[in-house]
Amino acid sequence: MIFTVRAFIFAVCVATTMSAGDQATAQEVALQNPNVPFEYRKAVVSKAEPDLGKLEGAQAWLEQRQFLQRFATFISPLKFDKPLLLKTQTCDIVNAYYDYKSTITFCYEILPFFQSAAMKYGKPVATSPGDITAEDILIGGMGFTMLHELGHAVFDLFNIPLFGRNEDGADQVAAFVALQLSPELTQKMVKGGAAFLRHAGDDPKAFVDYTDNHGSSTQRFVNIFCMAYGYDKTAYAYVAAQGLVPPERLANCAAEYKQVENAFAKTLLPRLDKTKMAEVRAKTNWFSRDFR
Amino acid sequence: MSWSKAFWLAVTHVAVVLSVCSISAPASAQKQDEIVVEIKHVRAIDKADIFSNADFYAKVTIGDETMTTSVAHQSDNVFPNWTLSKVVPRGTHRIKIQLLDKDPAKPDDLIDVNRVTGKRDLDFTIDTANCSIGGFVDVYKCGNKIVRAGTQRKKAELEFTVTARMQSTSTQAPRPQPSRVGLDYTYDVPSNRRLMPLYNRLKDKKVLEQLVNYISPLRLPRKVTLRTRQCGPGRIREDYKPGADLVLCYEYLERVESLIRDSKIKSPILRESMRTGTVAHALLREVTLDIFDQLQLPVWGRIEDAADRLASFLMLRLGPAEKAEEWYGGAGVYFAFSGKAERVNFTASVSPDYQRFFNHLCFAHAAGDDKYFALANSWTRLIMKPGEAAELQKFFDLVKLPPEQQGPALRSLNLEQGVFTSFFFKRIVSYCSKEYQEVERAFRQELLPHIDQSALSAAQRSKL
Repeated sequence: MIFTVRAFIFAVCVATTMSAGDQATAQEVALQNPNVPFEYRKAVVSKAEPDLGKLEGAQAWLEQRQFLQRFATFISPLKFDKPLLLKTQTCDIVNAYYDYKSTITFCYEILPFFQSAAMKYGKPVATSPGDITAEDILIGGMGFTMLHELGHAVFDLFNIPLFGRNEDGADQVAAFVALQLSPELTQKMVKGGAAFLRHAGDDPKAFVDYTDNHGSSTQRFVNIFCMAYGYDKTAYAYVAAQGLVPPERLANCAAEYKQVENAFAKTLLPRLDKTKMAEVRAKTNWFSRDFR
Repeated sequence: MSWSKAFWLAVTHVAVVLSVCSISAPASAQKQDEIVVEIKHVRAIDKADIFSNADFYAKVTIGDETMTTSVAHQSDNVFPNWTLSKVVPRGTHRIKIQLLDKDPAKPDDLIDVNRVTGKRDLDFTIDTANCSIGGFVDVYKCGNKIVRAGTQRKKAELEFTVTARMQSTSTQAPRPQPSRVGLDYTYDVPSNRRLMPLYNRLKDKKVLEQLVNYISPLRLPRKVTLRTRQCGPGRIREDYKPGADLVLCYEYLERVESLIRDSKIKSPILRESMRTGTVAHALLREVTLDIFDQLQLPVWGRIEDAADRLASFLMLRLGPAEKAEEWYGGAGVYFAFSGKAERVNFTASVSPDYQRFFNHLCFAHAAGDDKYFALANSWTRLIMKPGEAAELQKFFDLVKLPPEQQGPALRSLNLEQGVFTSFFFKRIVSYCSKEYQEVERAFRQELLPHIDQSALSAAQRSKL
């Protein structure tokens, strides 16, 4: 069962990543779910934040790479009962969000943020398995962010039971999906998502900062790497070697991954269209075309 | 006014006399229904027996009675129309279906018909009052075709229906009593003499008896044993292990006593509330972890947070009437004090107590009950500076105003003050109700079918 999920997600998730100017094929378009429309709203330069003039560039970058079309293709096997709108727009803050009114918004401001973080924190080239590159942060981070918002959307639209915290659950959806990709893309998504969270903000220092409905950056970063280690401790041996997850928690990481696998199998797997899954699975060259 | 006085005022109406919660309901005329399980089709997905075709048969358990079908010899694809039934009191009942392959030479094979890894049979419930079938991801009613297939070695696909036929009313039918089978408790004697007073206190107050009684309406596949014991130096909690006893460490209670001493709490009511509330929440949290495991419930989010949230929810919604505030309030005060004293570790799977405090606080605000709202407001005084607490109190008052009056009241607040620039303000306004509703929805979808509602008190049932 999980093999099937893995194969499906491998095929669809690569379609969501940003490639260098690919055009969507007829097959990709055919896979798009009419229940998942998308729109690129015109980037608006904020008077309050004149630096955001670069958002016009962000709009062009995303449109050229058919960011939303690809994400719509990625989620085409999900059987939504009502349309889920994907859109990009100017927000005046760095953000991506699901609004609980069937819309996922990717703010133009987030692209320059990721580009800047990639330059600042990413290595140009990986020289060891645990190295996080600029590309990991840009591609993986943006992909992880959209998957996180997709997590919120499916929780809401499918009325999924949530015993734990919604924000952590959305991170788990993103991490679980990322872990079903090809090994190379899996590493990219996991590292990108985790690195983004590691650098997104400081940990709370005052009690009022413990109040958020999100976990702290460290908690989220460690949660993702723990799931990855629990999924495959050989591929993610660097998680233990570099102390990204403390030794006392490593022993429990397999159980943490299993918990999410069980939740996915019970709540999301039944909402996947197997025919579309097969169609998406048949398209296997996206990854190599995108990144080679 | 000191914070302890403020809190004391908020909890003066909390009963302090420990008593066992009531779960019985008045006897009344009992309607009966016949539950009918029909297995229509069985298809082997892989070879159940490498030497021949399958000899399928099924065991069906309705309530506490297990029935076995005839054997369908030498067929990997059979339409047996096995029909099994049992007359039951109207209400929610558990059903288990096991598919087996008869083997004359060795023990029969249990065939996997459950898509969940590690579980080969099917466990679900039927509420004969409204003919709803619970325990599956999809919602089924009586007569719906249900198809399930396994994923592990020796697997098959099973098609069946479940119905409930109304029977004549029996005024003399005995009312089902909440089963105590499968629930147990033990107070281990600590070897460390320092812990003896804590052991004696728990035993004298029959704390475990109360908790066992409280959770007795739960219908779980496996026995649950609550145990108090000495866990060792520096260990205030034992990790949950599936199938093992659910443990409360005496060292945890020692920490509670230490926090009480350090906080200089004078009020005996508050001291007692903190003790009983902390113990109740800690044990309920272990029980909820066991519920997740035993029922293999889908849990999104960190499982320790999920257990906390469900424990808090159960206290709010189904806490025994005379103890609900004492439990909820006491646990909240513990989280506040413990959070203050704790050395934070953000890399652990368990959230820091300050985060747990705000999760608990969030639910108190969202529960829609003035008494919990008052408790929550009192707790915030425990952890904030006087100026912040006063400003926040204005906000709490504001939240309760009619919408048209909220705008002017909001403008009177100093929103530049630290507390309002934190996410706390945003969370109360935007998220707490949503978080509470999420757990309520999960509770209704996943856990309620496993609770014998006839074993709840009338007050508890009215909150469902």
